[in-house]
Amino acid sequence: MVEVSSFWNREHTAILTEATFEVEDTVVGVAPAYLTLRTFGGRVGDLRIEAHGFPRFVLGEKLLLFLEPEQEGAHKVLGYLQGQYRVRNDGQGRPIAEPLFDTGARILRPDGTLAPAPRPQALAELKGQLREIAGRVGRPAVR
Amino acid sequence: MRKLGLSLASLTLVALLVLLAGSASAYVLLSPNRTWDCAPDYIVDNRAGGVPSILDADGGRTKTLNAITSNADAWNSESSGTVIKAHAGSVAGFALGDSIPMLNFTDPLSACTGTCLAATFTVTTASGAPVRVPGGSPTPTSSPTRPATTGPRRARTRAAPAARARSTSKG
Repeated sequence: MVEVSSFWNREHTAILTEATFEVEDTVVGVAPAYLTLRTFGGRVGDLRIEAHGFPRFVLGEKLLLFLEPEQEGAHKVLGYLQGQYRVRNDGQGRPIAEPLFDTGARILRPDGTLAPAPRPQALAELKGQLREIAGRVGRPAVR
Repeated sequence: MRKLGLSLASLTLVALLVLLAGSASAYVLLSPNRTWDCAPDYIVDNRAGGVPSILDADGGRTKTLNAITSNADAWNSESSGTVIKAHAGSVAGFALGDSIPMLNFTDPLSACTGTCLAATFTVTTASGAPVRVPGGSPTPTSSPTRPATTGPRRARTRAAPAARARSTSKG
């Protein structure tokens, strides 16, 4: 993430945060070299608006994002915060994809029972899984 | 810093990835827990019809009010005394940061799209100073100073897709 800024919307009813990303790798589909995404919430002056469950952009973070297309070439993060993973290194320097799930969040199956929360896993492993699934459904992965 | 991109152009794969997430819905409890210094008084959207897809007398408004203030199974049952209040009123002046807690049956910010059922916003000041009410007195310092929940007008019809992905609930 190379740039982040927060600002009031035109109506002055909400604070938005816009982030610009440099794309290092694309797992499935096509992504531009640079990408700009918006989310609700952020801080302007002394006022901080928290948009619970929405993507959060912090300057300098490295992320794995699940994106879906919007109009006019724009994108948004799929499934709100569920589509955002933070990439960090473990103790051995291996990149780990860490789901940015709200603390206290619970995932329910359609029958109402509690599903296991997503857990951090090796980035290479997660990318491999995604490529395998993409291939299975006829979406060639980007190698 | 850089990011890894996964651009999805096919709804097929979108659906699949959602299924991989556990065919699940999600709700979010505000964390860390929020407290307030005095009972907030939520304004619940009083527009005629309420949520049109809710087929009771007022589109779910009374049930919403009761759900917030119930002494049996809501916040007021969890502690002695009244910890939260709510009344029906106009939400026409919806704006975050004005220190007026509000529950809006529509989605004035267009924040809640696709699989989202409801969205919650809280406002705090970084300095801990009270949030100023435009033209009025500052509210007592509390956290959150301004919770607001918005939701799509057709909440019920969107509930099914939300069950596959996520929704944010008020806290």
